[in-house]
Order: sequence, then structure tokens, then C-alpha cells
Amino acid sequence: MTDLTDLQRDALLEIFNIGVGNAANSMSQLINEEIRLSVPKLQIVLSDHAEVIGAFIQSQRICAVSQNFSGPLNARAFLVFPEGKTHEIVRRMLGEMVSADELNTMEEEALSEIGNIVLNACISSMSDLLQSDFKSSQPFYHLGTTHSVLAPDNVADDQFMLLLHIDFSMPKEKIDGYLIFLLNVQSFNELVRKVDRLLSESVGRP
Amino acid sequence: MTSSPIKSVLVVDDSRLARMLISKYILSKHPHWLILEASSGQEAVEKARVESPNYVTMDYNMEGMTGAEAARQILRDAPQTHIVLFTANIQTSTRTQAADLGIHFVGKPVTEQTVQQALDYFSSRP
Amino acid sequence: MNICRPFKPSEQQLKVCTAAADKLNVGIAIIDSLGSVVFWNQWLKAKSGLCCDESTGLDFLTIFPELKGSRLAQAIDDAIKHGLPSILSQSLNKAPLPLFEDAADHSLRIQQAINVTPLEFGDRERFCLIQINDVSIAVKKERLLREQAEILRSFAFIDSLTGIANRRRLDEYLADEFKRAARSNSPLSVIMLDIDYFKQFNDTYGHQNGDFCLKRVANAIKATLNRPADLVGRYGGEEFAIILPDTSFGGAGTLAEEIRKHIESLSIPHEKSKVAPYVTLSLGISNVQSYADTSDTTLLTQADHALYQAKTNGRNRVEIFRQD
Repeated sequence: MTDLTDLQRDALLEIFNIGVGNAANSMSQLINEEIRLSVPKLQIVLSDHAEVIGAFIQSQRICAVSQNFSGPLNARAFLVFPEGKTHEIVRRMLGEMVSADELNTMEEEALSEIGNIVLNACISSMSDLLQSDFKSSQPFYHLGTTHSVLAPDNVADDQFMLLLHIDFSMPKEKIDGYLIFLLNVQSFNELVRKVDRLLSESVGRP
Repeated sequence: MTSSPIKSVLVVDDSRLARMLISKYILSKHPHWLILEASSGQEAVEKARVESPNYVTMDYNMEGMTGAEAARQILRDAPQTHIVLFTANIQTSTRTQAADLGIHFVGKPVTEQTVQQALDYFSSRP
Repeated sequence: MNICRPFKPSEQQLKVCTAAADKLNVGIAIIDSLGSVVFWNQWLKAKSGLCCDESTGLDFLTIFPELKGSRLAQAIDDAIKHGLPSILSQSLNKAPLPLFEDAADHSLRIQQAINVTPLEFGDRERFCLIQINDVSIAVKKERLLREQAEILRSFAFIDSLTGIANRRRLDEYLADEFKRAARSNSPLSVIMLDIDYFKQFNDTYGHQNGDFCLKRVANAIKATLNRPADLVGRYGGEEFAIILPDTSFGGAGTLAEEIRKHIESLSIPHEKSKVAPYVTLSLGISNVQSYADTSDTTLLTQADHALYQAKTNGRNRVEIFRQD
């Protein structure tokens, strides 16, 4: 049941590509440099499949920013970077003049904002295309093992994870980030239902 | 509306949802227009060569050739084609690329309004 | 338990709330769904130099035209249209709003940390709350401390004779780079080198010329390195070490050979040398083969072994460390 049709996948990827496209625009304004963001890959797993998640992210320790959002479906959304990769992003955003010490103190703050930009843009895009209204918490910053950061709150429930791979392309480097949505069965089904509605409304030809 | 001459539009996007939506909104305004589709830059260039569409809507981020490159090649083969870059990549640098190529820019998402922007541009260039 | 009385404030309550908002040491603005300012407090009034009466009811972007298309404008839009909160950190946004310590003097713009929060009342209109914190003092203090610390650090980490890194800096850098390389499992190489027959050089030409020779060699090595992550330091006496992150044996070998040739080409006279009539170097290279059974210190020891090998094999040459 974690299988989506190609068309459902395609619709979700388009929603998130529009989201990260907007986020890239906001971020490039902050650094006066071009950033391209794209979401080329989507995978859905059960949240207890730690080894699948680990293989997807390719790192045991991660740095993440999360926001909880609620509405017709509830989810916790994470923007995730492998630990150590965040330095480069933040350095690019703060400029070359920043010393290593300074970078460390500013990193949490800057990453929280980057996460906030990307997550808000994705939630907005979902809200626009799925015609739903969401509420969201403030962003939270996490640093730790993949398992501890992404662990679901209520272990009793089966939880689904939507794993999306994001390409952050800056003029001089490419960084892999991940967008992860943690949702329970009802919310997952609601998401699929909304995607189906969008798809059925998109059929123009008789 | 139906009295307008029949035109052909090549809709280029790697997302099938985006192609479906763009086609739907174009057909709702111009039911007799001919819609062609391509899911990559390469395919778009080849289709444009064979079918010579009047208009093209072009996504930017696609596997392989970018939309800008595909647009450049289509215009090289057929300079009379009118192209709209229809993309989620709304940064100034992308807009500048579109302007440099002499093509129109419309930001995603695909909605009735944004498709109308593309159609308005096309109707100004018959 | 319901702490507050049901919302339908008396005139008295409204007055109390407004007075409290005006006493706050943060800027508060509330914007309605059309983008107009419906309230802002005394703090904002003072720092912007704008009077509440003339600005409430106006479009926020009309009051601050420079914000059009900015990150803050996007954040307000996200709050009103989508009900999403945003943070604008002081790191990424220096001073989004034109607010000044002294509203009459526009030379000192306040550094800001801003929170944008949607305000929702059931199904009714959505408002947007903007909170602005003045972080200028924190930013200034941080910068000052950082500068002082930087100066102290730079003295503690530089070799006073040659101006390149000293041993302490080398050790710290190697420890950091070793950890980083181990994490990403990327290659890491170290070169140890020294000047051949340097004692004889000092005996022949005197210590002053000896010091001068060390400086020239240090500068020449530094000039050969062209990646910012590569670090050369004086390890002690006439001995130098180079730390090369993301560098394989091959890459380190090429570089070592380049350095050897470069020093040769300087042709610094050394008549007592038994290898050549000019100053030459012996170099040893080590490279991490497996992070599981190496440490940063063994890497140095291995490079030192290779250097010793270069000495015994006739000097003015490069040797690499081989595990027997």
C-alpha cells in the first residue's frame, strides 16, 4: 500500500518542485547568487525501515530543521542535510569572510531559517495545489543520528515517510539535501486522496 | 472563440501532471487547438522539427537538456516559433536567460491564470 | 482551566494591552489580510521615525517600499495567505527594516532578528504579527570578542620566524582534518621535510643566514601550495610539515617532487652539503590507508619514517611510507 502510481508520484514531485523553486528564489535573494533546487527523486517507506532511510540519506548523523503542520492532514516535515555538509551551505550564505568559529555560532540560526524557507515554500505549494489550508509550528533545529532525529513520536502507530531528494546546486558546488515528511496512515491516505482529486481535475480531454 | 484559427502548441514538461494541466487550460479556451507533448528537451527539439508547432510552453529543469537550451535549438531551426518558458525556477537569472533568448517567462504553478498569461503572450504574436 | 476571561475585551482591557505593547522593548506590528498596518507599538514608532497615526491603515509595503519582493515581504505573504510562520535570523538578514537607533540620524541601522507569525481567529480573517528584536548590541559584542580572539589565536598559532603555521597549529589542524576525512572516508596525506645538512649550513654561514634560509624555504613551499585547505607549518628546527586534505599518495608525491625541484631551483649556495652545492630538501610522505587502524599521530610518525628513509637513501629526494 506504500506504492503510488507513476502519475501520483509525478504529481507529488511537481508539487515539491514548485515549492523548492520558490525557496530557491528566496535563498538566492539572500546571497545574491544563483541557487538551483530540484527534487528528482521520491520514495515512500514505513518509518521503522531504518536501513532504507539510512541508505537514502547516506549518512548516519544528520542536521535537520523540522516544522509540524496540521490541517486536513498532519505531518512533521524535515529538511535534512548529512552532518558536515551544512558548513558549505552556510558559508556560502554568510560570505567568505566569516571565520570558522563564527560559522559554528551562526550555523544553527542560519540553517533554521533556510529550513523555514524551504519547508514553508513546500507547504505553500501543497496548500495551493491540493487546495488545503495548513497551520504550522515554528521551525526546530536538530542535530544527531538519523534514527534519533527522525524517530516518530507515537511508536504505536504505523508511520509513513515520504523521502524526497533535493539537489542544491550553487555555482561552485552541489549539495544533497533531503525533504522528509513523517505522517500516520490516515494522513498518508488523505494525501493520496487529495493527489487523486488534483489528478482527476487535471484531465481536460473528453 | 471558436472562430480563431487553429494553432498547434507543443507542451514541454517532464511532469505529466504539469502537461495535463497546461493542456486542459489551453483546451478550455481553445477547444480546437492541437496539443503536442514532450517530456524532455531532446524530445521537444525533435518534435518541433517534425511538427513545426506555432507555440511552445517549455519547462526549465529537466533531465538532460535544459528548457533554455531546447528553446534555443527550436528557435534556431524555426525562428518564427513563439515560446514561453513556464517554470518553477523563478529566479532573476532564469528570467534573464529567457529575455536573452527573446522568449516570454511565466512562473509556475500551472493555474488557469498562469496559463492565461502564456495564452495572452501567444495571442499578441499570431 | 481558563486563565483569561472570554475574549470580548472591555475598553479597560484594550487600554491595558495597548499600554503594555507600547512598553515592550521589541517592535510589534500587526498587519491585516490586505497588507495594511492595523497596529504598531511605540518601539517601532520611535525607531522608524514614523508616527502611528499617519502610518496605521497604510499598506506595509507602501510605508517601507524597499521591502517589495524581499524575504520579509514573502514571509508576510506566507503568514497571511498560507498561515505559515517565518523566522528572519540576524545571520542571514542584517537589517531588513529601515530602523535606526536615533530616528533623526540614519547612519546607524539597527540589526534585527524578526519573527513573523500568523494570527488566526477561527474562520475569520487572518492577521500577521511581526516581532522585531534589536540585536545590534549582541552582534557588535560578538564581533568584538571574535576579533580579539582571532588576534590572540593568530599569535598563538604562527611561527614567529617564518610567519607560517607553528607546530601547535599543525597538530590541531591535522586532528581536525583527520576527523573530517575519517567521517567522509576521503584521502588525507602528510609530507614531512627538512633541509639537508642544515647544521653545516649554519656553521658555515652563521645563524642569521640560517634564519634567512628557513624563511626562503618556508615561503617557497607556501607558494607551491595552491589550495586553501593545504597547510604548511614549521614543525621545529629545520623541519616542516604539510597537511594535504583530499589528497592521494599520487597527488602528494607530485606536489613533494614539485617542492623539491622548486627549492633546488632557488640555488641557495651551500658549499658544505654533500649532495649538491646548493640547498636541497629530503621529503617523506604518508597517506591514510585505513581510518580504522590509523590516527593523526601515526600519520605524522609514518611521514617521519619516510623522511628518514629519504635521508638514508641519499637525501635530495622524496620517499613514501610503506607498511612492511
